[in-house]
Amino acid sequence: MTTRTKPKAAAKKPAPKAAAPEVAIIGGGLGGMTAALKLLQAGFKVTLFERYDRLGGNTASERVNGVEHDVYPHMFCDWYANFWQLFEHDLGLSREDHFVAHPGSLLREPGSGDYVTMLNPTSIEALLANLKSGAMSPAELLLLGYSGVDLASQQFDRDGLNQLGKLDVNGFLYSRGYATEAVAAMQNYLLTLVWSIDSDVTSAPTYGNFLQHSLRFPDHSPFDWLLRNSLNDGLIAPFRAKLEALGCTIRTGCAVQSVRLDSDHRPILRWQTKGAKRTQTKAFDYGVLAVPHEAMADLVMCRTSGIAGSRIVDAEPELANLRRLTSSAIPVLDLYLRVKLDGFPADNIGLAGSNYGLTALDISQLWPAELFGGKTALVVAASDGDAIPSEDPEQAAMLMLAEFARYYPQFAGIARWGDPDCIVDWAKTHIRLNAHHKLFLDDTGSWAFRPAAAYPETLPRLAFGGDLCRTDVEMATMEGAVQSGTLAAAAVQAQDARITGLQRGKEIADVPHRVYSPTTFRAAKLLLLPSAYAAYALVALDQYRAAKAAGDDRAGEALATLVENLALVLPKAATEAGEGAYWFYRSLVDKDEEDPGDEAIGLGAAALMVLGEIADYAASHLGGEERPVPETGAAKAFEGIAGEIAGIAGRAFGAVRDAAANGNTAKRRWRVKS
Amino acid sequence: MARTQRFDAIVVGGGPAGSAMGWALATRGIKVAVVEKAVFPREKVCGDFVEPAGLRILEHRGCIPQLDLGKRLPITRNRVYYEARLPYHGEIPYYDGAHGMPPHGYIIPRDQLDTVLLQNAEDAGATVFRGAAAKVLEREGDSNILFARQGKEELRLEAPVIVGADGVQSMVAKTKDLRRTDRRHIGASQRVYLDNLEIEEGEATIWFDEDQIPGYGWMFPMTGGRANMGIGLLTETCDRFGMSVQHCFRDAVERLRFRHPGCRNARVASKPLGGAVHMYGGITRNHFDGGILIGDAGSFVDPMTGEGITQGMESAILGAHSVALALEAGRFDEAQFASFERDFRAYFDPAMRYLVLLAQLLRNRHFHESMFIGTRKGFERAQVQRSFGEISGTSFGGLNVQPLAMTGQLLWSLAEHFLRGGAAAFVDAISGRGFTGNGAVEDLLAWQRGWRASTAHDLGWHLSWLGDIVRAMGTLGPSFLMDENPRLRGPIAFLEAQS
Repeated sequence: MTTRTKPKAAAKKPAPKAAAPEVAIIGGGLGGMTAALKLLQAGFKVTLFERYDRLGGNTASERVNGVEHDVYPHMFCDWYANFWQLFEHDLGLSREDHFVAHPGSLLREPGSGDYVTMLNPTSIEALLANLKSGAMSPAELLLLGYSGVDLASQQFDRDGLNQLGKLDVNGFLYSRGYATEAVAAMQNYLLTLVWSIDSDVTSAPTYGNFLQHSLRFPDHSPFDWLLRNSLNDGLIAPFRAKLEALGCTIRTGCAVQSVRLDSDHRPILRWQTKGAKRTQTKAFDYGVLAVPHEAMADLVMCRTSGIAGSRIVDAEPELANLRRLTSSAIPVLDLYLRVKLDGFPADNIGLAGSNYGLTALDISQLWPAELFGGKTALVVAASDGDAIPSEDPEQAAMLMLAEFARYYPQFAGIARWGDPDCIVDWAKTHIRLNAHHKLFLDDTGSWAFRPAAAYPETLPRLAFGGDLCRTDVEMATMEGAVQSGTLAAAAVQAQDARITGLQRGKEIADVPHRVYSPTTFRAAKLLLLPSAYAAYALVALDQYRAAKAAGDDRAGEALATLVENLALVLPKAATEAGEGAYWFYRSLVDKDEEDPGDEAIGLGAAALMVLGEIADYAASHLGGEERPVPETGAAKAFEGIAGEIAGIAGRAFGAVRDAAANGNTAKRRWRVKS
Repeated sequence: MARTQRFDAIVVGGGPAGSAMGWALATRGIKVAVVEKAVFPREKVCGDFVEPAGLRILEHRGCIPQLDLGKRLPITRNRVYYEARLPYHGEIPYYDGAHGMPPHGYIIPRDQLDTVLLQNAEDAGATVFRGAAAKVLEREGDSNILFARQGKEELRLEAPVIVGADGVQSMVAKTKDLRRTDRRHIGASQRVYLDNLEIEEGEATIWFDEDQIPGYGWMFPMTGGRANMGIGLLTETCDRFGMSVQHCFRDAVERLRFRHPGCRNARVASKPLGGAVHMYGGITRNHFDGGILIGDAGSFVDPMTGEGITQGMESAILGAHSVALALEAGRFDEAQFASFERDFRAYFDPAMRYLVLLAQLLRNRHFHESMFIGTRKGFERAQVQRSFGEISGTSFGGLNVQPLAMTGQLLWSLAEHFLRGGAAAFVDAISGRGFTGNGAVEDLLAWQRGWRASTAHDLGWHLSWLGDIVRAMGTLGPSFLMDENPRLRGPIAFLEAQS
């Protein structure tokens, strides 16, 4: 909305006679860097501590033999409002110049020469294309989509204290009447691929929250954006330059060994710089802990004795729960080749059914061409790294490569690491197991144990950042890291204002996400419910046919199963519809629709938006316009069931029109009045 | 320290709303002061059009003789231009002279109108401070203290009730933190007096240009070849699309010269003046501890036409009732003045809420093609079908807004257009004429271009706009359920029926 009033804080510049308060930020990942930036902008004096030589944490790159290797590949989703605000506004960089949008991602089966395209279901075209993609039967795909909407529309208790709410994604699916094995397997595959976590341990409320953010039909948004450079060159180096320009003291290669609190709650840091003989100690006015959960637990528990000050956990015992959090390493193999592989798509590729959960990305088509000299470079990541039966990097690399060769036979028969008799350029190729760059796991029940941005009552001079912290984006993402860094900075600023009675700088605030209101999700679920159960019946029928065709119906078991399933469809659908209708009614009477807030999209607006898109789609058919499906390497234009309905009049008309035009070219029936 | 003068009520502002309040309170025997910063006569940015409902109030107050209506031109006819086309030319279809209203409106320049009206309030017994600029409003206990400056003299007025009738830049609204800033509901206008015109007597002209949508221009003729001419635009649109009211206005003067044969030699006879209008949809609350807001200060302007003179007087008469009740009860808190909210909602909501919805629908400039074609077809239909002009015509002026009938008419027209167009296209195709540029299909594609431009330009805004439409639809209950628009019988009859 347009308001012309400026925040009063901005108008009144504080004239601090006293020196700016000093803030220590421990952890130079995306969360810590964001907190540093926001605090510097507000006029704080910031020292950023990073254990390794480079900033970036899980978004860092490592330089080996002159080649940049990213910790692991990242998806920059379109809805990462805080990240894009940081990149475009704070760093002043252009998204279009540095990123390329991808409408979807690809799947490849072993032994198949072809790819299946899955588009981000944010337009009618993409939805229809997905249904016809062949990744699963259209009925199973519809069920997969429905399960996502269903989970997004569930109401979970947000404290994480409710025992029944400590539910995993797979368990949630099991509780649904429409669940099929293929849907459960696909959900598991997606979670493993992106978050390295199995669906049977992923927190359902947390994943539901992620789905609420990412289900954005019909806004035509792409699946994600890919950085057209290494993380270091494309993101971290300009970020660091910005911090330095703002006067940040950056201490890389500097391990913070302990953080204790003085009698005034100030954090006392003890650190050791790489190569230095002695440790240094200093008390800061404020501290932000933005390190991975293991390091954070160590700092909070501070097991080392003989250090002045009190332990953090003594002030806030809840933080002992940090020890319950878990994470997982994703081994990554950067395969630099001596040749150019033709026909390799420029999309994220999931290798369906691979051991170790392999994904591949051709960076030579993405990063600046001069880095590759016309040759191909592939980043192969093992999302299920714990399945690799080796802890030796090169051995692990060979195992990954052998698995990779099942999909790409060009890589078959490589004998050992450094085998000169193959297409791999070993001098540039690099493997890392990433034991020190683990990905935080959103496992069941973890929400209750994740740290908040701040504990103003007990820890007035500390804040917490990083993707493990509780934010509006629950799933571990870069967006979560940026948002938590912002919230940590805001907490420090607020505490400082409380102590000094004067707000320093402009108010630090995160960017709210535009999501559909709960009512909207519930309405969508109800709307889709009949087709979901119809799809479920269809799947049961398909299974029966398959069993019969395979001759597995000896004693009529398959038929019995079919009859059972079909008999249960109606009561199950009725139960779910009744429950869904109740929750829909509840969200209506709870009035979350009356003013769903600036960023939540209310039911009415959503309904008009969807109707408008359908009308737009139908108008295209009527007007004879070819609407391309968003382009990907393997995308083909399809027209599916719903499209038939929307466009049936248009195409019938078009056909008649064309036939008439073709058939009557010779004798025109203009009659001239004489 | 200025000597304190005590009243029962102080009205800040002596325009149509303020003077009506002064008159209405004074005739009830209430001791009222009207504080007007200007010394009348003075110019005011306005279309100067007083519609029949306004004239009915003026007649009730007995100021018709002073206004010399006999010497003025009644506005009986209208021309509607769409760029160079003239889709409507004829009688104004919706004024019928029923319910004690004259069958025509008049153009009465505001310098004359406001002077007469304020005098009328004074004659009725109100104390009028002319040339007295209200400076500061304070609240002490149950009392409002208004400090004003009249020439060199400081005034200190005290009353339990304060009425803000001080226009768009209302000092009272600002003090009470009720001044509207929501540019979705604020219009901007600019107007001038033209002379050297040769126009048929009593024929107004309005026009729409596709590059100045949402908005319109007007020319209201007076005697002696003079006319009030101006344009109005929505400020939100100006902000979003970098449109300048001044530029649009200059273009409009030029265009008028060549589109209207009677304006070929038009001469600008006064300095163009710009102003803002706060429209009904932007009302948050019009009452507070110690008083109420009326007229433009209370955002009582029609969201489609930008008319506000009549609504200003109507809101004053409704408000006077609440003020009298408060004085009777000896209570002056916000809850007491909530009776004003109830009254004006009951009175205005049925018609205004519907007009707010129409204005919301027309708010998205990306749909300029569709809006332009669609509304033009409406005027074309009104030209040949009188009932369409009588009912749907009231979306753009006129009092007898009948939402149910209008919705039926509009939806039926749309359905008919697209069904007929679809059928025609089909017949064309099968009879071998091939694909002809069919109107209905073209209109659908024009809509589609708007939809795509809007979603691509700013999806967040687009969604919030859709949300606004839905919210506007959600308040239509009173519009569809009413037997008769309360405005039809006027505020005085409305209050009488209540008691």
